[in-house]
Amino acid sequence: MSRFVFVAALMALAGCATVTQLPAFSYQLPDNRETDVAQVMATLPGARESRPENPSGEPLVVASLHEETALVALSLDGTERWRAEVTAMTRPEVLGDLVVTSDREGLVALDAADGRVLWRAPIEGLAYVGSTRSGSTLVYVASVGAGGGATRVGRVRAVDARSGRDLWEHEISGTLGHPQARGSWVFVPWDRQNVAILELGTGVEKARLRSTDDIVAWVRDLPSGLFYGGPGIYRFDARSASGTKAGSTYLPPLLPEAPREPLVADDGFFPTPGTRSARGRIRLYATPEARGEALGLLGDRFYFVYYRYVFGYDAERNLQWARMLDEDVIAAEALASGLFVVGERGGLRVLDPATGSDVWTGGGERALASAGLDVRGFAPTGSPAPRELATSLAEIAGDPDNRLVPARAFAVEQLGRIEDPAVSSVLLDLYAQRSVPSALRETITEVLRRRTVGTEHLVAALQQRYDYLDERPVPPLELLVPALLEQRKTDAVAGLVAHMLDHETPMGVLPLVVRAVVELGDASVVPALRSFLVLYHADSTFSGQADALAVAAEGIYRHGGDEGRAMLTALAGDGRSLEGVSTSIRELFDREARDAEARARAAAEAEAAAAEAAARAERAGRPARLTQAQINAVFAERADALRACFQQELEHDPQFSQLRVVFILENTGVATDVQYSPPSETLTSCLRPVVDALRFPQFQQRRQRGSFTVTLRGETVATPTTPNDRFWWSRAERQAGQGEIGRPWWEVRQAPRVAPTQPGQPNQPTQPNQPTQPNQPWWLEGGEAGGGQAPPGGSPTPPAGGAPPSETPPPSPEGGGSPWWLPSE
Amino acid sequence: MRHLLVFLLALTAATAFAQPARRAARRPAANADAPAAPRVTMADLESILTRLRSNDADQVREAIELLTILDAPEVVPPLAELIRAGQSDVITDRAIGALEQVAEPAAIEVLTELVNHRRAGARRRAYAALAAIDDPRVRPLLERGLRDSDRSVRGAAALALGETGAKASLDLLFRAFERNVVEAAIAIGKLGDAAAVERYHAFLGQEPLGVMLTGYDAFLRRADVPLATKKAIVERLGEGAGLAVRRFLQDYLASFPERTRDRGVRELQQLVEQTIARIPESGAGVRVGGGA
Repeated sequence: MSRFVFVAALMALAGCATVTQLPAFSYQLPDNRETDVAQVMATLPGARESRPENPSGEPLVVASLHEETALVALSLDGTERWRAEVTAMTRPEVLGDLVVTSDREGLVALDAADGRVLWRAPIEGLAYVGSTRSGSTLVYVASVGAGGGATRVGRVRAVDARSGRDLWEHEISGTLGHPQARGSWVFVPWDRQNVAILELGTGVEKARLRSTDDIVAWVRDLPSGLFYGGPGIYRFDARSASGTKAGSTYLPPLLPEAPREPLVADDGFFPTPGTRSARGRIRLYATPEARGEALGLLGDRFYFVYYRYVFGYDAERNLQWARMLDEDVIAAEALASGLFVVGERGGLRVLDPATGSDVWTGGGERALASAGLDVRGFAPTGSPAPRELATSLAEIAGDPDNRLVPARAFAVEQLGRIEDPAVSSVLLDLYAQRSVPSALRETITEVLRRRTVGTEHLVAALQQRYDYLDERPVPPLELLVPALLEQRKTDAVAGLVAHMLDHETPMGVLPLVVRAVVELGDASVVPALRSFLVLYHADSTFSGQADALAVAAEGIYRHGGDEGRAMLTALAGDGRSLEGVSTSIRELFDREARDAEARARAAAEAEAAAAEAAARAERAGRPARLTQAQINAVFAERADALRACFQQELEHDPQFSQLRVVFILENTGVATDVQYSPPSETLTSCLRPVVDALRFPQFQQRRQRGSFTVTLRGETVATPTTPNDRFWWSRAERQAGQGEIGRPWWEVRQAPRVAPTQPGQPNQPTQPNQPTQPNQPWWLEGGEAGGGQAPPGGSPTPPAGGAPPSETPPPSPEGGGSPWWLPSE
Repeated sequence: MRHLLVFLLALTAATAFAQPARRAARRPAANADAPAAPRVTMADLESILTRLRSNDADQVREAIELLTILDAPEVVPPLAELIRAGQSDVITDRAIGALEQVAEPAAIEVLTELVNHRRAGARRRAYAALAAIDDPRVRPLLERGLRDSDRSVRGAAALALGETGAKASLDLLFRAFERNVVEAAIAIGKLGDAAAVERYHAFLGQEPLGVMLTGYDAFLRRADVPLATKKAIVERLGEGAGLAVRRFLQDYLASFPERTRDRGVRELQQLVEQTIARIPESGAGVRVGGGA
């Protein structure tokens, strides 16, 4: 029982959840839910036939009149079907058998058949934005605050279409846009970001779209489906729930470069004026079309309308044609057969989608203010004459109507893209017209600068000369010269030189002309530059405005060679020269000196860097430390000097038998902290300059201990390179292998040197081939290990510079003989 | 009053730019009271040229003066060289003036360059110097001056054409007059024939009366204009005129000889007198041609 109660309670709660409906436009209502969108999609009607929806089934134009307080329903031949005395404040809308507009009192609904007013509804301080209709229900929106301001109120109300009887209503603190109904659903854009999807019958919001990366400015119900968007176009389908451009079926903005950023539909948040107004005169016209799962444009065409200019584009956004109509466009609709256009003087026409020519014309002379159309499916036939795009664009660009300068500039831009050389000539002619406003001149200048074709016309234009009698102006040099420079037109140099020398060339543009001569010319322009500069270098004409002369000086400096430089130097030193001329010339030379200095500095820096790199490489190639063999080799280079010192020392100390030099070797190759043993003063003073002068190979380690030992009695000079004993045991093993293991420490350690000689008995040098006695003291063996000690039993090595090691020293005639290291006789 | 002022200005300009038609006639006669000019001969040319090349502006000025006194074709090249080397305004203008004094065809080349000088004063002087040269190449150059953007240069060129008797330029002078080159009126008056007078009449009412009177004055003072044409001018002016015309005719009347046997001249004189008598002495009077 208790389980049953629990389940029932859960079901009740769930039921409450579904029954409790949040109010429409509530911020708590979830948006972009796929299930909600799918629910709407499931019951949304499919495509319908494209045809007029008024009761007559014939195309109908309902227009408000200019300077008259009336609405008229017009057949396409211009005849009035009916006329109603209504002061239309908003554009009339044809909604089936109703025509809806608003006057100062509120909403007015008229019978589309005869113009009879069926009902009125007050709007109560709000601005009527627009209506929609599905079946017998009419839904309209009134709102304020879309343009800013503190008050933001939006009201959507459903009424019975024929009687005006209220059905439901929502009022929010936000702005609502023009609603669109399709089947049993009403789509209401709000706050420029959302589309609320309400049930037509109840007004309950069942789904909501929220764009997360775009704005929503309009919703349109069209025969092939429902579309919404801002600058771009979205198709309402299941993908709309993504809330993003990428996730939706989306067409990017059709013509983002168009002036005034026109939308492809009227901005649904603002009322469409029923009187003549600039609003709505600048529009893109296109009819989105569902194509399977994709989105296209009806007839693969769209149109840009700017007052009375119309530009026709294909689906790839290529401009196909342009047209200047004889009246401003107050309403239009893109049909499969072309663009249906309503002019402000009552003219109706259909422009051919391929050529822009009239396929059909109708209407009559009637001053219209605004118009609502019900012309879908209208497909007149005709044989339009082809139109030359360049001619049409030139016609628009040259239109004297200065209200429309942005669109004329747009036409100039489009003209500039045409790869016909003659277009350059057209643009030049246009520029020469006195009525052309400066903004348009700037556009022409920019377009001509970018154009790479037709530059021959620019060169030819230089031939024109000022003539007072013929009222011929100076050619537009401020236009021509930048373009010629941009295109590097060297064949323009002759014309430019002529203008440089022509006094009619305005002072303002003269520096530019001279600059072009310098930049495009070569040595051939130097005579002209020289004449120009020399003639005016002291003339008051250029006093305070010597820019042109300075540029001419630069040209001579660049192209004139040594002769030109000499001339400039003389001119700079001429006391009559204008200050600006002298200064600019000096600056040229100074700049050259600075540049040369900078170049030299850069070269020196590069050289230093290279040297540094080489030094780094050389340092990287050095040994980590010097081996004994390398040290010995350095000493060997000064063997003669060493020998002299030994001889000298022997004269003082006949028992002198061994020299040991210990020192710190810097990595620069210099020996420091040199200690001599024995520390005999005579020996030391003799050896010091010799040893100090020694230069050892450089090595990487900062410093190392070094030693050099000479045993004068025939023993070696230096210890051969010690094998690399990385560990003490390897050294022990090696020494064991050499029979050294087991020698007492005192035999291998350094000990105070004590001369083993008796007074008066000269020390006998050890014979080179005489084996060392095992019990002989180490100091008689030649030195310490690693410090230049001769290997016991090894071949004696003569002092460096002496006989080669392989040579056997000569035997002494006196048993011991003379020292081996003495030079042989 | 404004027309009178324009008339006086135009006359002043005409006087200022008036150049003798021929070199021989242009040179002033030696004035015994004037300080004696330094005696300079061709032997001094080298020393003068040395001074001409000096950096001292005073020396250059003196050298230019001496070259002017020398008045020989040989002075043209150094003066041209001096100008082309670029000088201060004063030196340039003096050198052009010297070329005007010398009036040698050899100077045409450098003067042709100078009519393109950026300083209007230099161009004006160059046209004046060209006008002093008796050479068939001069007229087209002077005509070019009518197309100049500077008003004073156009005026100088127009006057120069009148002074040089460039009858072939009459059509162009009429075009210039249509384009408000007021000095062209004087040139037309100096060059035009009877047909040109008729054509000139057409401008009455379109151009200021003061300007028109400068042209009529030139017509009336010419000996080669038939008396009938002069009478026609006087009659046309007398058709409806004001104080300015009266004064103009009074001035013209004063130019007649006191006694003449020429019947035609006497008739013209009488016509002028009658016309003057018809014009009220004060008040605005009647406009000639309905315009102006």
